[in-house]
Amino acid sequence: MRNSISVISILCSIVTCHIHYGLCQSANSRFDGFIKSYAFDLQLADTTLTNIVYLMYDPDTVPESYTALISTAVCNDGLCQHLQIKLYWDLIGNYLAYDTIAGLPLTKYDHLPFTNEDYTKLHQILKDQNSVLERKSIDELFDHEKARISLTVDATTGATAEVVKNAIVGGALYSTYTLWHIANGSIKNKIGDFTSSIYDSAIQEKLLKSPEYKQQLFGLKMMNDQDFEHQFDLVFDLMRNGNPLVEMFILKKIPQTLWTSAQYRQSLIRSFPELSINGRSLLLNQLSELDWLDKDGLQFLSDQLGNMTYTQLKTYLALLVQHKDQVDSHIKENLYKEAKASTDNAYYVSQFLENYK
Amino acid sequence: MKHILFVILLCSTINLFSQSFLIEAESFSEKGGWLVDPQFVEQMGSPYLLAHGMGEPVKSAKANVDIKKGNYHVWARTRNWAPGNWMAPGRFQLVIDGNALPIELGENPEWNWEYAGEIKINARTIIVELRDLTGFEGRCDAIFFNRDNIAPPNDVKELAAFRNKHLGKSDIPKQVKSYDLVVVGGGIAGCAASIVAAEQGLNVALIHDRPLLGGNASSEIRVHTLGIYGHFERILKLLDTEHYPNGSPDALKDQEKRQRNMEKFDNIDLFLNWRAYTSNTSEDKIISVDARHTSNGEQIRFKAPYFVDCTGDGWIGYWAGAEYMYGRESVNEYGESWEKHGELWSPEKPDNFVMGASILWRSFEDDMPHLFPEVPWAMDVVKGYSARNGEWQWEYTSTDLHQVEDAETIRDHLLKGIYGSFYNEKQKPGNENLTLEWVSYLVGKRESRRLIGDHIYTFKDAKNSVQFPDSVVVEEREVDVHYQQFLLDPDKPDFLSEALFYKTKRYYVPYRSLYSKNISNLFMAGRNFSCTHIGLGGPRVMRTTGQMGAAVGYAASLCKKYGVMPRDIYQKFLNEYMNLIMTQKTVSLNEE
Repeated sequence: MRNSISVISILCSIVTCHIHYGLCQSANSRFDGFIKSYAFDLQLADTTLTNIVYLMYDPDTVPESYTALISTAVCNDGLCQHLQIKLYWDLIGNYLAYDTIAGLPLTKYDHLPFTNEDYTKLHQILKDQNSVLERKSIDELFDHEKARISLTVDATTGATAEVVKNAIVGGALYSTYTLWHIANGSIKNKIGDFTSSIYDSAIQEKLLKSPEYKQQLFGLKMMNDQDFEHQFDLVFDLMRNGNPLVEMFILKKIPQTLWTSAQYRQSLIRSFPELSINGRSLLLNQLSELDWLDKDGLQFLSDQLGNMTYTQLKTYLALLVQHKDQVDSHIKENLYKEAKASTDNAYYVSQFLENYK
Repeated sequence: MKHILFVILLCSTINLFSQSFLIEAESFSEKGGWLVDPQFVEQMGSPYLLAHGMGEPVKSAKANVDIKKGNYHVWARTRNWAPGNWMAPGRFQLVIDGNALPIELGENPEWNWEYAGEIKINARTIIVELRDLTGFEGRCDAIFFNRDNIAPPNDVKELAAFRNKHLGKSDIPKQVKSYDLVVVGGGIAGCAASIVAAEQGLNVALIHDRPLLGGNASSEIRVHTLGIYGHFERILKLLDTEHYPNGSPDALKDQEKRQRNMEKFDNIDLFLNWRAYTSNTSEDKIISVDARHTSNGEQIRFKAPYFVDCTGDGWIGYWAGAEYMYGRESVNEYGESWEKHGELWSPEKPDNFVMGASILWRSFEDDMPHLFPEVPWAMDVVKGYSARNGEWQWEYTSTDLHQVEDAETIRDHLLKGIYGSFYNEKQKPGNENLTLEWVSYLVGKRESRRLIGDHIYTFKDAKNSVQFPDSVVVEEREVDVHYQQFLLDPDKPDFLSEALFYKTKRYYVPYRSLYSKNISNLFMAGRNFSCTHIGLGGPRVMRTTGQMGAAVGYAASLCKKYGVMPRDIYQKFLNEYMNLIMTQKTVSLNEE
């Protein structure tokens, strides 16, 4: 009887997989037409099989992403089942998507096939790099006091701990856990290392233009001082349009040579209103390191007094003292205006004007 | 002779006509609903009274004042903590014998003396009253009566001298007390150090600037304790908390337990509501710490051969000239990268973007409607964000702000976030009965100064589970470092954080991270121990810092036994020290 049920389940799952293949295929379609080449071998923990990771190129033959047909075992209490799935990662090893293999749908306990919702949920789980699955061992994910009896095994299978129910596909703890660690485990560093080994200007441009901040940062970290100058426009756009983390990284990393060049410095100063609060502080701090600052820059910043925090204002006022020869009537007028505003800053500006008559 | 008498009388008369006097607000005998806030003394000069009414004006604070009759100009030292094109949120009035001076106070940015008005006094004793008008954090430091129309100085240093002159005080305490060990800071680390030292027979002074022990775990801040007990279960169970939700009133039960257990020790002198204000040194040793009562201004000089800095901000070490660190090191300086999170975890270039401070808060559904006033001064901060309670993620830090020097600004920013978010929540249909239950006004800090010891604890020590010969603290909890949510999503408010958890095996903190490198008789325990920014990530929770305190207590007892310095314990008495820690585990628990 049990064998009959197993056969029927397998047959159903094959039929179901054909239905899901359309869904599965959606992950593949964005890589249609991409050429691929061997990148490196991937050895996984629970299998002796060697999986091959391929580098995929976009239609312009620029490296775009990585893929691998993963064959691995998913084991639980000594029972193992074979799992095959195609995974995709971006140039720096972040999980992008997955695809099932025709005739081999994903299954959960008792070989029940994944539902459409399960497939969707799996993708969301694999995308979550901060998943609780990362920092909990498989034993910590069970509620040992509960038990659920599987139809196909004699031993009871512990039910999932409450805390992780949302972090897994229901009934597929081991598969979810295994796949998450494959998609987000050591492969990430390996891909990052491989990309670094083939790094060139085309990859750099692709990363800097990526909408993903991690790719942007990867590209920025690979840049030397000359790269910053050659790619200034691109970096400058990224600084203004990227998230605050990227913005701050750029502001800290822009080489001294650009700060001391009038052309680049002016652009940077004029970006002040577009920067985050922390970005503005970093910009002012960088200006404090310069031996010389021109009047235009100081004037522009004097127009921004109303947008400065107290600490930023202090830094700016110190700049005026440092470069007092550049303080003109435009700047003074803005100072007097700010001194009369009903803000915290007004008090300091008044004090400053009092002390530096 | 008649001439001499005339001159004396004239001088007395001049004194009478030039009479002025100062009242410290925190010394008011009847505080009403105002709370003593001593958190920012080092920055603005004094504890002050805070009208923390969560939007409802608090009951007046009152003081009886003996005064000579006459006309006086009156000033109050205060600040407008949210200046802008709106009515100041923390407005209050001075009321003298029931007559309110018409000028509303709390209008000017920054701490300053605001003129309250002129008054004619006909009685010898008057009642001075602080009348809160808004319930939104009005603050009053002091009140000054002067026959002349001359305000006291605003400069903090000049004001300190002015205060001393008017109150007949000096910075040098007259009262001196001597102990075997002085522990400054009554959080879990300080309490653990005190208990252990007392058990070992030392006479201990524990100085704490709040009425309740526990630091971030106290019922005033209500963060639950995390981490494991390590070797010190029997000590830490006297002090720790249950795992209630952060901010829960369940904190009160554990507060009672902690207080009871601390008071059992006859050889721990508890100095609650006392705040240290300087360390006095001779060469590389602290010889005494001076402290002042946060309400009555009384001063004591505490002498001891050994001191423990559990202040969190490393004040005792800072004043003594101990080496310290502040900020986030470059990822490359100590090899603390986590590739997965890169710049979010540890920056390529160093900066001051340390983990932030939190204020926890709660609301509840009452069985009747409650109004909540408009808070225009909060809207720039919260914009459209709404919430009905706030836990650990309500955390604020900035490259712009120092967690010590700008703590009041940080606290006030969080309050804007809270009141603004709650206001937005109240505007939603169905929330008419929602009302604030509790909002802390004490900043729960995570990171500021870290005093440097003979070993700087790093992420690598945790990641590699390095076992030291002097491993005294054990932990299993993930290395947990926070970042501000807006860094990845600029639409998020700047007062919300997210956590990154690096899972490791068991890790250990060595004793060498618990005493100062250059101040020879100074221990430290708590979040100001010797570590990098990432190194702090794991051990910063309170059972772990409690372990540090206990470890330091044992070290102090051996220092006393042999008349040596903290470093000598590692260099000459390590076996005995480690043995002492291991064997103390079986001593019976001293708890109810």
